[in-house]
Amino acid sequence: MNPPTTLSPEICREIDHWIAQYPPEGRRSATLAALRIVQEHGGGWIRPESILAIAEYLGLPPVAVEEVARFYSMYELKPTARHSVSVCTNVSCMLCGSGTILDHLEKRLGIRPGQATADGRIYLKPEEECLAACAGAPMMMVDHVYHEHLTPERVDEILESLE
Amino acid sequence: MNGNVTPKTIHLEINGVACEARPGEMIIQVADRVGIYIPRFCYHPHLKIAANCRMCLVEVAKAPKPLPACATPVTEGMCVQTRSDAALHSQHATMEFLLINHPLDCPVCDQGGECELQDLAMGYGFDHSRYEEPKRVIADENVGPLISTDMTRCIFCSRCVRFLEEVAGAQELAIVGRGERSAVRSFLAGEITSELSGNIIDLCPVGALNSKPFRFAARSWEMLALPGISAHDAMGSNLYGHTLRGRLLRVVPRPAEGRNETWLSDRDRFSYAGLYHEDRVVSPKVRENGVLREASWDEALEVSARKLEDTVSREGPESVAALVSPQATLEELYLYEKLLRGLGVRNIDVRLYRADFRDGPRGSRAEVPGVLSATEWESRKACLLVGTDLRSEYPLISWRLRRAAEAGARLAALNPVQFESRLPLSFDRPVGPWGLVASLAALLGRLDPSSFSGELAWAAPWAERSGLSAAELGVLGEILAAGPEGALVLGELVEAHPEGSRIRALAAALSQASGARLIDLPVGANALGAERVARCWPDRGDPLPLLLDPPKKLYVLFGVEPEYDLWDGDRAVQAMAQAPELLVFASWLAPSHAAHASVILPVAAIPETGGTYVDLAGEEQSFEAMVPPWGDARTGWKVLTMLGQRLGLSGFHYEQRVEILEEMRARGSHPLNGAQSCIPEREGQAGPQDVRFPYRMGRRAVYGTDPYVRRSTPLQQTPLARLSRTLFLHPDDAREQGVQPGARVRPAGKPDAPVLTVAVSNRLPRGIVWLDSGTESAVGWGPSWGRLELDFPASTEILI
Ligand code: SF4
Ligand code: FES
Ligand code: FES
Repeated sequence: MNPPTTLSPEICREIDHWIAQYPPEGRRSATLAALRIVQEHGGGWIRPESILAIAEYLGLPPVAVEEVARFYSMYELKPTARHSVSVCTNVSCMLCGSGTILDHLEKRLGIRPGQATADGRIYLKPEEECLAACAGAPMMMVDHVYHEHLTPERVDEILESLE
Repeated sequence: MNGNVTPKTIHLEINGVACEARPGEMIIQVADRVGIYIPRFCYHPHLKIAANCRMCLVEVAKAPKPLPACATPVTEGMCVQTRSDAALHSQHATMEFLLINHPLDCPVCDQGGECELQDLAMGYGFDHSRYEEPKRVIADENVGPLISTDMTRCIFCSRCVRFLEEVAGAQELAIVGRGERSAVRSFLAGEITSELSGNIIDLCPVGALNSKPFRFAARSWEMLALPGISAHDAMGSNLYGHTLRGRLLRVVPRPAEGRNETWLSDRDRFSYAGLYHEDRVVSPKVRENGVLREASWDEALEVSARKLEDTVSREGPESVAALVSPQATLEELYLYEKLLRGLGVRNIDVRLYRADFRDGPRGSRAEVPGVLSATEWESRKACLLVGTDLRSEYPLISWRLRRAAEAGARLAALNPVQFESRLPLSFDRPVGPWGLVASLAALLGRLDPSSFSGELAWAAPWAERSGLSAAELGVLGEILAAGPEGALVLGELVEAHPEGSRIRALAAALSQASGARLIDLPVGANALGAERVARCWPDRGDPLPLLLDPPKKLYVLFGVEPEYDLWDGDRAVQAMAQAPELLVFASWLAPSHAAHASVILPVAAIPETGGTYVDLAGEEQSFEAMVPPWGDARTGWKVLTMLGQRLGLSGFHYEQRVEILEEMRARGSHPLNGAQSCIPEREGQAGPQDVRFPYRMGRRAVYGTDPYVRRSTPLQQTPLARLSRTLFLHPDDAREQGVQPGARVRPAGKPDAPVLTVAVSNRLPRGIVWLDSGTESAVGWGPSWGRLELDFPASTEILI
C-alpha cells in the first residue's frame, strides 16, 4: 500500500513512444529508454524516486530497474553537473597520451574523475572504456559530442566554450 | 529417432552406471536420482536453472569441453563421467576461482559446519591457495531484522535472487553492478518485504545470508535437531527446532513434499524468538488484595478450583464462559472442554475472530468437503479468492497458487481492498466491505437466476447493487466455470465480516451451482481440531457475542489474549473487567491478564508441549515437545488434568497423552441437527449500504495471529509488521478530513492507546479506515470491522 509516485506527463509521453516500439509483453524493453529520458529531464542524473516511478510505470520490480541503471555507466545515479566530460583511457588512447590529457583536466578543474566542479559546471566521468574512436586517439566525449586528436591546448579551448 | 518421435525413455550412462531418464531432464537430475553426487552451488531442484557457478562441470564423451550437469539435457547413449581426471580438474579449477574472493572467515561465520562451500572445498578443492593478491570486499547492507548479510562471502549463485522472484513472487534482490563490482543488493539497499524471505538463508550455499536472530548464538554441530509442526496456520508445515541445552535457538524447514516442500514462512521460522520474551509467565500467580503475586502450583490450582466451584454453585454454570485459542492442541482442547463440562459449563467458544454467528454454533462447520491437500491447491485450474490476503493468512498456499498460475490456472480476488498479492489476478478491483456479499450474489444470479426464489430471496437486492460490470462478472464467472477443478476460497475477512453468514451462504450456493470446491480456510492452526472437539458433545452453549454481553461472572481463558485475539477486543476486555473472576491459562502475560486475572496458570508454549493438530486437509499430525517448559510452566494437558483432579471430577487420570485422544475418539461425533443450514435467520440490511467514513476494517496482522508470534521481536520489526501498525486512509478522505500522511493519531479520550502513523493508499475504497488487528496498536480502535464511534479526526488527537 505505497503512495503512488508519478512521472510528468511529458516524460510519460516520451516513454510511451518507446513502449510502442516493442510487443506488449516486451514492455520491460523500454527500461533503457525510460532511464535515459528521466536522466535528460532530471538535470543529468536519475533520482531514486524516479527509479521507483519507472518501475511502477513499466510494471517491473524496482530492483530490476535499478539493476539496469547500475549496469550501464551512461546512467548517473548521483548529482553531476551541467556538462559531462569523459576521457577515454583505454589502450589506443592510453598509447597516444590520454594520461596527459586526464592529468591536465584534473589540474585545471581541480577535481578527480567521479567529481564535479564546485560551480556545478563540469563533471568528470570516472574511467571510461573505449569509446570506439581509436583512430582519433586521444579523445574525450563532452555531452555526447566526440572531440579527437586532443592536446592540452585543445582541451582548454573546449572547456572555455562550455558555459 | 529420425527426428520426429521423441522416445519416452532415454538411456545413458553415468560413471558406468546405466540410467534411464525422461526427455528434457538434465544430467544432474538423473545423477541425483541414482545417487551419484555432482557438486553444485547454483542448481536447486525447486528453482529455475541459472547455470552460473560452473561447479557441476562433468565430462561427457565426445563433447569437446566439460559441460555443466545442471544445464545439459540428457541424450540417448550419453556417457557421463563425474569423477574422471578431466571432470575433477574442471571442478578443482572452478573451486579455485570461487575461493579467490571468498574470505577465510569460517571460524566466525555462522554457516561454518553447514556450509556448502566449506563442504565442497573439502571434497573438491585444493588444500592451499595459490592466490595471494588482495580480495575484493563488498559492503553489507541491512535487508531487515530477519536476515544478516555478509556480502563479501557471496559467490553469486543467484539462488536468493531466483527464489524471491520465482517462489516468493516478487524480485526483491538483484545482482547489481558489473564484473568484480557485482553485488547482491535489494532495491536502494532497502529491506526485504517478502513473507517467505527466511528461505534464502537456507538456500544461500555460503554464509552471505544468515539468520539475524540466530547470529552467533551457537555452532551448528552443537545443537540437536528435533521435529515439530508449525503453530501459526493450519498448513501444518513441518519444521525442525534446533535446540541447545534445553533452549530452542533456531527453526528451519523439515522437508514434507505434499506440504511445505522445503520452504517455511517467516512466521513459522522466526516465531521461536518469542519463546523467551519477558512476557513469559514463569510461575503461577494469584491475585491478593488487588495485586498479582507469585504462588505455588498447589495454591494456584486450589484457588482456581475454589473459584470455579463457588461461581458454579452460587450463580449456576451459565454464569461461566470459556474461550480457548485455536492454537491449542487437540488434547488440550478436549480436556479443557471435558473439565468445564464436568462442572456443567457449556459456554465455550474458539471462534475468536468471527463477527457473524447467525449461521450456526461451534462444531457446525462443514469439515469434510471443504478441504484441499497442499498439492491439490497446486492442481487447481481456477481459483476465486474471497476475503483473504493470502500472503499474510496462508503464505504457503499463496505460493502453491502462484505455481498453479504458472501452470495456467486463472486466479481472481474478491476483496474489500486491494492487497499486494504477488499473484497474477484476472480480477483484483477492491469492492469494499458490502461488495463481497453483493458480488457473490450477482455471480450467483448470473449462474442460476432461479436461486433467489427460495431461502436466498434476500440476496436479490444485493445482486442488483453489486456495481460489477458485465465484463467483470464475465471474468469472475469464467473462474467458476472450471467446475470441480476450480476452488472458491473464503478467507479470514469473511470470518471478520459482519455479514459473514451471508457470504458463506452465497458461497455454498455458488459452489453447488458451479461444482467449484468450497474452501473455508481455518482461522488458527488447529481450528479444525476445535470443531472436532466441539462435536464430542451433543449440545452447544451460546456463541461468543452472547458470552460477552451481558458480562458473565467468571471467564476462563486458555491461550487467549482478549485484547488482541478477539474480533472486538475492546468489548471483550470490558466484559472481563466487569466479571468478578478471570481464570487464565497462558504462556505469555497480556495486559488484560495482568489487570484482571484472579489466577494465572502458566502453560507450556507449543514447542514445549506434545500434542496433535488437525491441518487444513483434515489430517492429524502429532508432535513431541522440543524443549522443556520454560520456568515453572507445565504442559497444558497436565495442568488441566491436575485441575480436573483437584475439582474431584471423574476421568482425569491420564498416564500418557495418547489416552486422551483415544478417549476422545471413543466419544464419537455429534453433528448438530439442522445446524448446517447457512441461511441467516434474522432480517438484516436489505442490500449493500454506502460506506460512510470512518468505517474501520482490517485483517489479522500477519505477525499478530497468536500470542506466540506477537512476542517475536524480530518479526515485529519487519516492514510487514510496521504496515500492520499503520492507519491507512484513502487519499481523498485524508484530504477531506485535513489529515496529512505521516500524521500521528490516537483515539480521543484514550491517552493509553498507542499512537499510530497515518498513511494514504488508493488501494482502499473511499470511507475506509484500514487498521489491522491483533497488535497493541489496534487496542482502543473498536471492533476489527465497523463504523468508528469516533468523529474522525475531530475527536482524534493529532499529535504531530
Ligand atoms: S547471497 Fe548467497 S544465495 Fe545469494 S547469490 Fe550470493 S551466494 Fe548465492
Ligand atoms: S581506446 Fe579510446 S576510443 Fe578506443
Ligand atoms: S550447479 Fe551447474 S552451473 Fe551451477
